[in-house]
Amino acid sequence: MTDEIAISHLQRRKIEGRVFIPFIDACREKFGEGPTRELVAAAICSLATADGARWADMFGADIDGLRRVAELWAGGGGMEVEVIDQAVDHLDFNVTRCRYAEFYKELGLADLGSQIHCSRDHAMVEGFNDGLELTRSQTIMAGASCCDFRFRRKA
Amino acid sequence: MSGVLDDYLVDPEGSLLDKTRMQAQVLVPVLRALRAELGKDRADAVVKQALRDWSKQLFATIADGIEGSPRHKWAAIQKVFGEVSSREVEFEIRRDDEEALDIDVTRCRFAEFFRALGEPELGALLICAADFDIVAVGDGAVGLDRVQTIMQGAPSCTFRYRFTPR
Repeated sequence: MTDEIAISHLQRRKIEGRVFIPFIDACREKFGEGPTRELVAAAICSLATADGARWADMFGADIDGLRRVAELWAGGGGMEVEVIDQAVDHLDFNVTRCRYAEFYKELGLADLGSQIHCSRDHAMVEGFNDGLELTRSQTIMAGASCCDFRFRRKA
Repeated sequence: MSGVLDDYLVDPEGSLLDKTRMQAQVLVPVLRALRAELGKDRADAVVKQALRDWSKQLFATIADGIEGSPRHKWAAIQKVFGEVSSREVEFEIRRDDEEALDIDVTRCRFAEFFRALGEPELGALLICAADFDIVAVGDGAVGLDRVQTIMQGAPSCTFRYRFTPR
């Protein structure tokens, strides 16, 4: 029995999603959009913060480490990434293709994808290193042509 | 024949136990938040209904994609699901003929995981229920009686499949 099997991050998210997505969709039908959103947000945040802390241990809790996290996300064809700029205090990249978004869109649940998938990233950074922050003005999941990830050391 | 569950399994070579653990990892925080909000009984009822609907629908959809009789569809799914799940259990075949297949599972790593997590009912919904949803695909050609499971705390799972004459 192993904790980590040799699968890509994209496969892991698909495996989780096979049950999690229909489950959350059923909760939305039962409780409505607002209450489900709150419920999911809290649970997703705690999971993402834990992921962030784990990746900081694996890769180092700095900008170089974040670059490695992005490479992990991109593994197995999960995302196509264009790095715009990287320095000791920032990392800017655009995601120009996102198979995570494609997975949710194929299910007709891109709005749920934003809640379950994209919203993780801010909480992940908090767990990774709370001296860093992410701003992102648009995502492919929400219909944009690219996701603009801008990680900064907090002032 | 293999490949019928590829979409569900995502990575057919990977361990079903590892996948189920990943699924539990994301479900449990939401389940516990639901219990805090609604109380355990109501929350568990909601989870049960949602996961039963999911599992029934999942195997019904897989069956729709397979050609042939209900009995054939059952056999196709059972072959793959039996193979991936049997890697995680120890079992003894008590009877195997045209009319019946009796299997006692004497060790189950799914049950060990979910019982250690304190969530055997979630394990029953994610794993044990699948056997009945796969039987349902057989549309009466296959029956399953299982009076006890390790997940519920019994020492063995007693699978008793019965086949109607062809």
